[in-house]
Amino acid sequence: MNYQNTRYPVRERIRTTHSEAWDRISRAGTWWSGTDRIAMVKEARAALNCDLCRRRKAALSPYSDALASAHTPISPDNPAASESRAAELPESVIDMIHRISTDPGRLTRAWFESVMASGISMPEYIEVLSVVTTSIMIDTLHRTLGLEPASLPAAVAGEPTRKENDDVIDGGAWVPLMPADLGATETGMPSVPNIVRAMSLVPDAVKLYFDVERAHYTVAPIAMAISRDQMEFVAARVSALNQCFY
Amino acid sequence: MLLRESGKKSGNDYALDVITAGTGNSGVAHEDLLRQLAETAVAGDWQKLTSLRDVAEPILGAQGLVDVLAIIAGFYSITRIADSTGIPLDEPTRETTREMRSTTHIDDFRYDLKSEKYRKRDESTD
Repeated sequence: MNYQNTRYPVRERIRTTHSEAWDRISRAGTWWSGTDRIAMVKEARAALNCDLCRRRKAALSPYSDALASAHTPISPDNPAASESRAAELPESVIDMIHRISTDPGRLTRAWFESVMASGISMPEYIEVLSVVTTSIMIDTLHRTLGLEPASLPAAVAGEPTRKENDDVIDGGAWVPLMPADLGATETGMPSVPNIVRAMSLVPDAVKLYFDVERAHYTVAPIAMAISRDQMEFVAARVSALNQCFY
Repeated sequence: MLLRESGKKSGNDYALDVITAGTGNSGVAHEDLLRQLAETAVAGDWQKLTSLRDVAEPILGAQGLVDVLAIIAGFYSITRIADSTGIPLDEPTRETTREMRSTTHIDDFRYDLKSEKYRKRDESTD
């Protein structure tokens, strides 16, 4: 992480969880190798400078046949993009990462089903989602502080565990969810809200993401120098800007 | 939208439609500054954000500013998990937020509407 290069007081828990997440991403997960997972982060970064993503973002629908081409860097000498191409992730995974990174508010169930039809399994999809969103959170904090995104660690050799999780149910989402008590707690939310259940098909994906997220925000009491109302205002405004229904 | 719940606890009845409208006054302290920080960060306008940090720091404090930026980074990413998995609203909030979702037009973002709204079509660019 590059937090040593800022004069702003980044909380110790954020520094620690970000470093731990980088280390976890560099290692084999449940379905993908460390090399694959590092490539996913590179691809998420490349998406920010992708010509196709920029054209899709400007289109009324991002699913037009006219927009069916490869993800290419706006600047051909963009090192982040050319480096990620060498990793040879499946094209459907590259497209998935770019859409999640640059236009998440217009993801649809029909699109999700097309990813499944391409041969990517739901657990594989979930793990990609976890790695990409974790890296987006870490990179975004760097950028908002005026820092360059952190250098990526070298991938660690190792095999994915390929450990299936059968303890899931149809909870009305596109993906299966863990069973949970749906009753409200004093916060008005269930003890395990659906956002935490969303990636529960791959428990390590939940852990990777939420170990970091909980250092940024929790519904439970958390040390913050702004009020809870201000916290929720910022959270709600960002969600609205991303056109997030949940 | 947990601002509704936190407002109840702090004794404030905030105008929640301001959140989706992006203008107006909800009643939250320093909301214009918080809104500008969120909108500038989500837009990826890093140059403007540099200036905004300088404006925000004396008002929110250095730690307050970093906390705001951490929440922005968190929600900038977590919304992608919801959008990528099509999770339904949590059961307890489905009924209690029905009116609020209508008032704030959050229902316009419903996942079950998006496949049709953004269906594959040829006339795609504006």
